[in-house]
Amino acid sequence: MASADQISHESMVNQSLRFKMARSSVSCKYSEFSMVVIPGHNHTGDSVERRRRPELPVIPPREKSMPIDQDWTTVWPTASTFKWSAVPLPIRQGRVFVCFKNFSESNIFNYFHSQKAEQDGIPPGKYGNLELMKIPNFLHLTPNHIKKHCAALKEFCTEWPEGLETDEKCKKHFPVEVISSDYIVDSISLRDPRARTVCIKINLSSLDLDSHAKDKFIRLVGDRYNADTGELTLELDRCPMKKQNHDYGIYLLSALFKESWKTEGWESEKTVDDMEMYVWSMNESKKNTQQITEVMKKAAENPSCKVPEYVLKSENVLETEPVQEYAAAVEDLHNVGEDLHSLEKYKEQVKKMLLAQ
Amino acid sequence: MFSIVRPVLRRSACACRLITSSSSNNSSTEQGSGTINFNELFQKGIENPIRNPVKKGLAVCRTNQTDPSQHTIRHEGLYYRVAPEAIQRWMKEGLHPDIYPLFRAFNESCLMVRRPAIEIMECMRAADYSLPAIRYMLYGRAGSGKSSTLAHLMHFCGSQDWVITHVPWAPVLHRYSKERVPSTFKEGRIDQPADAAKWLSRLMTTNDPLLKTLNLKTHRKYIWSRREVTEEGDALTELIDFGLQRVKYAPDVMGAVIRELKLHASSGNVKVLVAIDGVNGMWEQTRYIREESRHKFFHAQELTIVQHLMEFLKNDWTGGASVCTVDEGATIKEMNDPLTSYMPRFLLGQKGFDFLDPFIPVHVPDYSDKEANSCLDYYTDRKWIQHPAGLTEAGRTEMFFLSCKNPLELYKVSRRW
Amino acid sequence: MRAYLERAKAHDAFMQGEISEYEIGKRHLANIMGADPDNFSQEDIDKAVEYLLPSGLFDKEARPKMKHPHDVIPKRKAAEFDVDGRPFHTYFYTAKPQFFKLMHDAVFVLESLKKEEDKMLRRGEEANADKKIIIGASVWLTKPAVEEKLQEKLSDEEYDSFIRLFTRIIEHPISYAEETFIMQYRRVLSAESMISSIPELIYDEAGRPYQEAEGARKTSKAYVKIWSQGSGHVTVNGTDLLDCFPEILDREQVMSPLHFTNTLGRVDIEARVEGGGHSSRAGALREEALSPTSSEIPPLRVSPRIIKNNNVSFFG
Repeated sequence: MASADQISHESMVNQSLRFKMARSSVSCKYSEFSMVVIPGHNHTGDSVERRRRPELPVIPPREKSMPIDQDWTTVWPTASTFKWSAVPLPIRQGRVFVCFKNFSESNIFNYFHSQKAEQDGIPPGKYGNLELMKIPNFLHLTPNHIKKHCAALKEFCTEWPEGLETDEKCKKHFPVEVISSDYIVDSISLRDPRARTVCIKINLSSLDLDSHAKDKFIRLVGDRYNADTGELTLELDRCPMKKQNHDYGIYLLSALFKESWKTEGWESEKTVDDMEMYVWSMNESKKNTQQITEVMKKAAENPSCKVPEYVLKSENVLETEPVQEYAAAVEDLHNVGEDLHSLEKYKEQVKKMLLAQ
Repeated sequence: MFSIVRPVLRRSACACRLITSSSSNNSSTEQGSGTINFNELFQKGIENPIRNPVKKGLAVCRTNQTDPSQHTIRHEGLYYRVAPEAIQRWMKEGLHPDIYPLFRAFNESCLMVRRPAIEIMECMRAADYSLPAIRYMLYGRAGSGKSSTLAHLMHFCGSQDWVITHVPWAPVLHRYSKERVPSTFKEGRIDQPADAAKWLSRLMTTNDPLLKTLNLKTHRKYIWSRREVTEEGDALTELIDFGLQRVKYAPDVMGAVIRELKLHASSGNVKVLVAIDGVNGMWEQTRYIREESRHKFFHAQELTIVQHLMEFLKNDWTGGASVCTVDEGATIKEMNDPLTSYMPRFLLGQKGFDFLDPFIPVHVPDYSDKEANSCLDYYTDRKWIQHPAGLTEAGRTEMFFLSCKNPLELYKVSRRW
Repeated sequence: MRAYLERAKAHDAFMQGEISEYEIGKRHLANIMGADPDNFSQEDIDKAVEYLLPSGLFDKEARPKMKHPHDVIPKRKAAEFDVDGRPFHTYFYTAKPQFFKLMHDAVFVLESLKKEEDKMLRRGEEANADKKIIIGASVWLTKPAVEEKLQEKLSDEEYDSFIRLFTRIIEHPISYAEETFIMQYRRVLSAESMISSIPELIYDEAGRPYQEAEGARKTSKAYVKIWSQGSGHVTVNGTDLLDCFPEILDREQVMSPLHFTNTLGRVDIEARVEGGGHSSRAGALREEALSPTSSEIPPLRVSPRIIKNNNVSFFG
């Protein structure tokens, strides 16, 4: 008894044999009794023993004759459903619930006499195991297979171009990334609707844009721009063909670029509320500063007044260094975010601006 | 280590407190007064042995420099004694409500000299008062001592004969006002005569002797009604008294007083301090419902008092300063919202920031190690901490851990020891 | 009887066949994967099977596998008869020999205790109260545990009678005389705290030792890093303790293990808590903060609050 599966296999073969024998024994019984012969109804001729086909010996499964150092790639060259006889591994699959209720545990004789006792609690083996056939297998893609594939493909490969050794270099020379997919489906049509989709990716830093153009570009593309990575992603699927979508994508990219460099007449109507960044020169803060510096300038006429030095030095006070630094601090506070550090910086700048050293 | 079995006592000015603290009242000298007599404690029947007691005789938690105008960075972390008259005059309102029972329990009122106050004092000393008034903004998380710092600064200015106008808690104006009438002076505004009268009376009590000695005059004629007129050259106190007697005109009188004070300050007759606690409440929605819809509220900017105070906060006058605090509690935003912040730009909003900019923001942090130890030294000196474990280093470490050295939390934690 | 012996023999032969097949299969698999068949471990087999026959079935038991027969095929009871066909065990025909033997022995023990007690009474002696077995420190073995020990299935009634009998024994005034016998069927509870292993210290680039741990309570999870040689600085989710736990009760929860291990103010804690409400967050942190700090002190057995909350606990 080599394996549990083999038992069942052999028993199957034996069963069919037994059935044949039973049939032949029935035919023998006719000779032992005198028979009523009704002409035209039953066979009156001598019963001739039917020639039995010689029984072929049951061939053991192929796995039994496999040497353990065989070339597996020749045994399993392509993808195929799991064949129990060709895989020389004692694989098991399935979960067995041991149910003691069927066998009275207290009666040890019953338990050991039951037919199922030996097989009880063991996961089913590979013989006739449908579960193993249902799941995909990679018996055709073992390391040796892959080595063979690579060796076969090597003659079709060309040299990797010089100067594109790293990903950074590739990104630098080819900033536009085009992603598309092909689908092979075993069906009546070769086409797959998903194959038309083209995805174009580009990092905005690789485009030559000034602050206005960049702002406009981002507004035009909307949520296709990822502010965290600075990457623009265009998903194109409106045309039926892949090439059409690709051409449209490239056209769209150039149109966006050209359009963002244009300045329309209505753009001058942009108010502070429309700004996505805090710009000091457009806000109340500048007016406040102007007012206060003017007052300080006037007060400076009185010699006893302690006025910060920068007010007296320059004609245009707003251009002086302390005011500009203050402006940067205010912008920082709004654009970068408010925290103890930026507030500390703001405080220092206000002190410099308002208090004489 | 002690097993921490703490007596959970709600002590608010209990009688025994007053008795225990009265004995040590006289012994407050500059250095070394914040110690306890351990032998005495043992004799009183405390059985627990005290291991690692806090260094004997070295605790320095007080300064005898009671004049705030002399406070410098040397006094950082030390308590100074505020005279009861000063408390009555400048700090009657505005501090945390728990501190007044504490003052009574301690039988004295002390404030700690802290770095933010010192920093603003330095700025005030350095500033030139012929230039526009500088606005200082105190900010910090709840319980970190913004109002106490403001009180210290009011004491500082008050002791130098400044006129002090104090709004103890700005959001009160738009939350709990009983009386609201449409303004007769300007359409669309809402008058709160009672609140205005309260502000005027507060101005009088805060600056009573000073205003009388200065004898400030009005700069122009104010006609309130056919019969009631304030002539040019009348005393400012008369104007205030008029507002207090004719409460109906109090909001307008408040505007007039503010205008007069600004003019006097600009001409150098007097220096004025504008102190407003919770100033960010002035750019918030009020709780007052409009007549046309239940779901529409008045904005704080529509209140006459807020408009007058905004006039004061402008920097179009000289000879004074404004000190404000921004507080999370003054907004109607959710307190426990993780997106909230105690930073001024967030709390003021864009409009408030634009109005007050440029201001000097001063962070009021939690206690430093030195300040926290000084605080507990003081509490020990006042016999506020009575459990023997509270007198050890281990007990202190525990209190610091539980309170994160936040002043208000430290007080709350210490009250269980 | 013959059938039984044949069965046993057949089982042995079956097992041998299975094992040899497994060994050959192992060599085949190594060959398929292009690996060295002599050094092909069970781990490699599992990996290879997972690669060759990937299955997404939820139950991992139901996925394809290739294990050693001893791991797959359930063990049978060893032969219970001698060559003549006589059962080895005296109580074989009770159908549960081990159980009834145990009950018999237990009754014998109880009777002997009674006799001993009678003798002592006659001598005028009294039972030694100091030696008494402390019942609270251990519990009776559960039904599955007894079944495992006896290698026999028990009914509920049988288990109940077992408990009743042994309770009578342990409640006997001089039960300490048979302590070793009784304690075979009891589980000692204080062993729990001994089991928890003390984590090793990790060192950062600056050479400062720290420990990492994670824990949970209710739906909250906590991930903690504890730095030794610290100054009591605590960061929870990037903010300090007060911002994260406005309730003082929660802060006390976090403090308790530090307080107990006397590390308050001496370690820095960096924690991340997520999910749940504030008190379960604090609870998760407490269970957490405990395990790293415990490395500095001997295993904790005394404090009920420190022992991790298992379902069955002596301390409740």
